[in-house]
Amino acid sequence: MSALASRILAEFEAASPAQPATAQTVGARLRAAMADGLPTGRDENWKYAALRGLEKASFRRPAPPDAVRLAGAAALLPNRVEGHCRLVFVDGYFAPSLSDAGDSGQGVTLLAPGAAPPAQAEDTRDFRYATINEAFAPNALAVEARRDAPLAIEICAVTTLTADAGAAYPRLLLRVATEASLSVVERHLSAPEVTALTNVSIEVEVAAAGKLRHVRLQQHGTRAQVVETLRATLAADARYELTQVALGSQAARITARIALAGRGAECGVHAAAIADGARVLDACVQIEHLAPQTRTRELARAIAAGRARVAFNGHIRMARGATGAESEQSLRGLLSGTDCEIDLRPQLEIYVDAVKASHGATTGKLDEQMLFYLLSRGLDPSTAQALLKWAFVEDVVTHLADRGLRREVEREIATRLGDVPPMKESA
Amino acid sequence: MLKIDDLRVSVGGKAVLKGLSLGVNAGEVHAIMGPNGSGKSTLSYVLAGRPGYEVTGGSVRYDGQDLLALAPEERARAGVFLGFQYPVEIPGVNNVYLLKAAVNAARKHRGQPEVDAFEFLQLVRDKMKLMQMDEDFLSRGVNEGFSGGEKKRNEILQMLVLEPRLALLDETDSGLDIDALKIVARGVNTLRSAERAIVLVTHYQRLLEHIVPDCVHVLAGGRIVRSGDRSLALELEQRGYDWLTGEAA
Repeated sequence: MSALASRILAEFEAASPAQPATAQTVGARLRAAMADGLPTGRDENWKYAALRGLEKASFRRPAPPDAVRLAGAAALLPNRVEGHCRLVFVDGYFAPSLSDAGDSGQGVTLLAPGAAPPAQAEDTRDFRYATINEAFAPNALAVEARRDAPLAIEICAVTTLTADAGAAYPRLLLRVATEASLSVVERHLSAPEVTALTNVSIEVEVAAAGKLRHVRLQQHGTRAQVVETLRATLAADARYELTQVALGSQAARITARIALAGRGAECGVHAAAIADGARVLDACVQIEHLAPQTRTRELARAIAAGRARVAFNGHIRMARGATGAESEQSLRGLLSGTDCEIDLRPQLEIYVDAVKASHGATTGKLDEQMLFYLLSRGLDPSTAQALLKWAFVEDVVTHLADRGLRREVEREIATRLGDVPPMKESA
Repeated sequence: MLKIDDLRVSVGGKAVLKGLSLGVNAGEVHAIMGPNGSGKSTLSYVLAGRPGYEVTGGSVRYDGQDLLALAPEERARAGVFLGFQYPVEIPGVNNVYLLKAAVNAARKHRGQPEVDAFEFLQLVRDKMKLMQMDEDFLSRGVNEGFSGGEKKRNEILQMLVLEPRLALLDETDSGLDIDALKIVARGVNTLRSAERAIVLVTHYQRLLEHIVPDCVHVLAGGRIVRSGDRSLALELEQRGYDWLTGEAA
């Protein structure tokens, strides 16, 4: 067992006397996972991730937030997303005083630790951090949208800890019943001084003909460490639209696996990552076509500046039963500087005839012709460059359905790109 | 307004303009014609300040100042406009945004406040009508998915909104059908005035039936080899360029 895995296990066991009986199984799963080892840079799917910050981070469950931490979290909360009730988590703990569950009523349940074992227990190294989340999370939020009762929920997960004070474990279970629809906006935030690890686990199940629109915004402070795991299963004719924008942290890694398990299931993945300084943003998205007539549209846009690194590994597998499946994949990277790095890996694995799969991946610098065109119209070089970077990620941002949220994300991106006023949508 | 004197330009180490001289006064329309590869586009790009064009000799004065010493954006703000032969597509930057940013950049340069949003939109709509362009174009990406003709119309629309003092139109007629050509020509003609100069770079004479130039120049082998009035263009139409390129050699 690696030193890190041993330490994680020791941190769990030190706290386990106080855990309920279910900890037996949780503990057993954690022990087995740690014995098998954590992913390292030698694992193919992890070679671009920055894992060194995890060596120094504490993994233990922190104390529940006190008034000071709650106030710190409250100060970071952004404007509400229109039409969505708000649930706030501080260092992984549900914070009722900052939340407004509105009329979400029976659709939302807070579960005790260990009460929500993973629906899909893949035993691969890619999902080790989800097992750690399960072992340490102080609670889990289960959201269930039922037929004829559509739900719209904003979840803000704020981390306020330094690295020695423990890790935050937001844990979400999103379920969409048959023909139901759910909109979830997830925002992950922390202040600049926060150095702790935030380990997120999300499990998604969309039943037949259900619809889930899922927005994820990672806006952590510049010293935060982030590891996220997302696992989704889609039944027949289910639709899952995942839009993810990663802007913050010192190092962030997301591992996502989306299984299109029912005939006609569809997913759209739109991911943007913008990194400057020495930030490392790494995403590994595995999409599995397991049934006939399943569809994927995947769009990733990455911008790296300074000494930053952005990686996107987009793996699409079409299994034997996926007759008539279709996938489109477009990965593009923009290097803004000479010391930054972008790694895009489009991967297609096809085990069935009669499918359509297109993919494209390009990384380059700002287009000189576009730049000159804007300069020739009188724009400042800095504005012109920022505008082109802006335009580069607009493909993804445009998938944010809520107008207020889109404006806010646009403003944040603009600030990071160098002060371009947000683009008006139209006349 | 524009005085080019013995201009020498290399691209990738190869001499393209080899001592070009040309004077354009305010109020005039000049046409620069010439065979393929004669340096027409190079001239347009050099005047607009595109990187990659090395000036190895000569000078360009614009309103008395050294044009070549200015950055591309400074030339634009000073009233120089290049209508591109192949306007680039910029998905994600919408047309109205670019137009407004361009107008405001010029206004800031002149010490004027930003343009009023409502008046600006009215102005753009008026100009669009003239160019027979659809409203939905405003919210689309710059030239994104436009046909060749739409791109050229968009160049002229930008010109009409920016109201440059010196307009350089690089093969604005190429790829246009006759109806589009008339629309483009009408746009250009509305901009003619005593304070402005227009330089049309073109391969064919047909544009000049709709925009009547004051002077016609033939560019061949990197130099102006013949200048004349409109009748020179007609002569070129009948005789081709060979008789002049022979002289240039």
